[in-house]
Amino acid sequence: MLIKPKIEDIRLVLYYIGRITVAVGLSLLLPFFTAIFFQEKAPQIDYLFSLGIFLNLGFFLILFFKIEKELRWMHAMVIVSLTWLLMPILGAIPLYLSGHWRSFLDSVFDAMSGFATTGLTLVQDLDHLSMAHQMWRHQMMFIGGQGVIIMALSFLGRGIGGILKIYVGEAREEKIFPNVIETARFIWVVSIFYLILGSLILGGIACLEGISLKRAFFHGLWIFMAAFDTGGFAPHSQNILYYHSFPFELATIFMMFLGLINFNLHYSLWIGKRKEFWRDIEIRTFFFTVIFTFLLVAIGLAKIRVYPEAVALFRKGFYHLISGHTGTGYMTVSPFEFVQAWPGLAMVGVIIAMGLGGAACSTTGGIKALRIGLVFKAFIQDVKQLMLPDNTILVEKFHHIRDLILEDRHVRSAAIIFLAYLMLYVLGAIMGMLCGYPFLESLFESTSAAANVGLSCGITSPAMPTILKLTYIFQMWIGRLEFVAIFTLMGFLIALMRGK
Amino acid sequence: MEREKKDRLALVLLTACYLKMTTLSFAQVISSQELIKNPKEYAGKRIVYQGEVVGDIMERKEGVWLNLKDGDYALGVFVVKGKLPSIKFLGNYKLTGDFLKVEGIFSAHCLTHGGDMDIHAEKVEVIREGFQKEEEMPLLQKLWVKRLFVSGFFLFLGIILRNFLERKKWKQKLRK
Repeated sequence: MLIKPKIEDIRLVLYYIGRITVAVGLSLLLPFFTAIFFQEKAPQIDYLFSLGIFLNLGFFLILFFKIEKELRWMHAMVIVSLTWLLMPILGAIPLYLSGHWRSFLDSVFDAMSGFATTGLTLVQDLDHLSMAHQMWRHQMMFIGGQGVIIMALSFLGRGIGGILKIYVGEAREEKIFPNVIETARFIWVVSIFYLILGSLILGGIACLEGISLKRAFFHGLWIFMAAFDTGGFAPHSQNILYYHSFPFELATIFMMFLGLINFNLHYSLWIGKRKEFWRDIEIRTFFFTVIFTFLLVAIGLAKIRVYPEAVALFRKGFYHLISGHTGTGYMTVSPFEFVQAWPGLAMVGVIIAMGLGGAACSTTGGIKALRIGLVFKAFIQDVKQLMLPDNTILVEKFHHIRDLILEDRHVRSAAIIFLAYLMLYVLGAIMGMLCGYPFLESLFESTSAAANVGLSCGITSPAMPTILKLTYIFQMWIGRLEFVAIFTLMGFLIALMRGK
Repeated sequence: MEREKKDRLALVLLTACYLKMTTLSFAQVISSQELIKNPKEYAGKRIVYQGEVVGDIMERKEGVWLNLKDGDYALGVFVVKGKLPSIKFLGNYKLTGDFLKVEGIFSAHCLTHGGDMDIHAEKVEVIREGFQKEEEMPLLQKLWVKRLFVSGFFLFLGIILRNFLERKKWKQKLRK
């Protein structure tokens, strides 16, 4: 029997959403100050206007829906899923006001792509976009990568009970410290430390490669935000190809790799436990899948000599593989090159890499290395068990933060999410085919959207059908939150209508 | 008979000239969209391309990189040092960049530049100077900003007042 949610349940959800809206709204001050710094007058008004909407809505929800009630799992999941729908809609307002997006839906698409750290974009004339709007696009990735709610809780977390449930709802199952607020703050400390370091490195390279100091600083900052958060936005329409720089590409590979690492592993490295890096099941699985998928890409590209030189093969083949595997989506080729020049085998290699994704509790999307590793280990365990005498029980171990025994519950939860992602990839591909695109291209774009990657083979454009835009928005949303929160929201809505 | 031979020879020569022209160079301007969507057709050939300079002029040891945009796409152009004319405006939010015409060799996967799609310019000229753009002020938003901040301020006051009253009630309860 479905129990109909009470008015208090809805009030509690709205109250929390109000608090988060205020926190995210205040972050609009950064693009506003950027507009002041660069003396961009129209964007200053765009951001003040958007800030006004964020604050009004947030304050309204806090004022009229405040309630003292214990936060349950259902509330937390509904808060997370609704917040992740509302923030892209509100975040799209300044984008739309810039006039660089053809419709409000297009700007919502980009805002969802930003918050979900996907990187697919429908912007027009990106090369003439204001610095303030560039800041907001990349900032959305930085906020979304760490977690919209993590950000809100880190700064406005005082007095919120049941934070752990919201934290888990935002697709982060693992805590670094027993206290969630401390965990959230650690994630921000790590991210800001790397932000400063990464921006200086990328800005320094950009400067050495001929970009003026002021612009190089901002390019470094934005590219780092989108690389570490495995987003994939860049300030120019050619993406990373704009820089025509091998050192810059190498630096972004390193930043993307930093972004795919589990924050728990970052913590271990911070406190000097370097051996953890090589022992962890996620890192081992990741290296195995990188080798496997790169073999597919390299054989495919080498067979028809798309890039006759090893350096070119590395800069195009390996770069896009890592970009896809980490879920970043940085590109140094035009989207059409995947279809025109790359053979099917190489495209399949990138699709598999995109679908697999990086580490759990990181900024990447996709199935995640931990789940792949667990399912693979369970498979090996079953094969080994068959080879042993009937009365023998085989115990399989794996190392993830600590030594653990592989149990059925681990495998079950990993396999369910694994399967759900596969279904999501296929669903998007079917929608693409219904819109008239070929199978491989539809699968490529669908996997890229659902695994929050951002590589495109040319389907994503302002001219694509509205239904496909909506499909990719849905895929980015559900892919970022890893299903559970979305299914709970659906259950909540059904209970609201049919419950007793 | 002699005349027929001459005619045939002329025809062969004309055809050869036409074929040479179409396979090695394209005299008319080719758009970035055409180059990006059909790179094989133009790879290794001399082309003419024109577009607005956007972003930065990136000086390197061996030459200069610029990105020229026409319509929806932009292409990287590599110019050997000394061949680049003076460029006054670089396209960005506030400026429309200088419009350049480039003659050079198009590469779908340039071997000297790590497989990048680019044009190695042999001749570059400024065909139209850029200019400063006028910013359009969003008047409607400007009007609404004030209203939104006034209503936001009152809502915020409401929250403070409610919290104050709640605290007062709670203290009274504690006293009792």
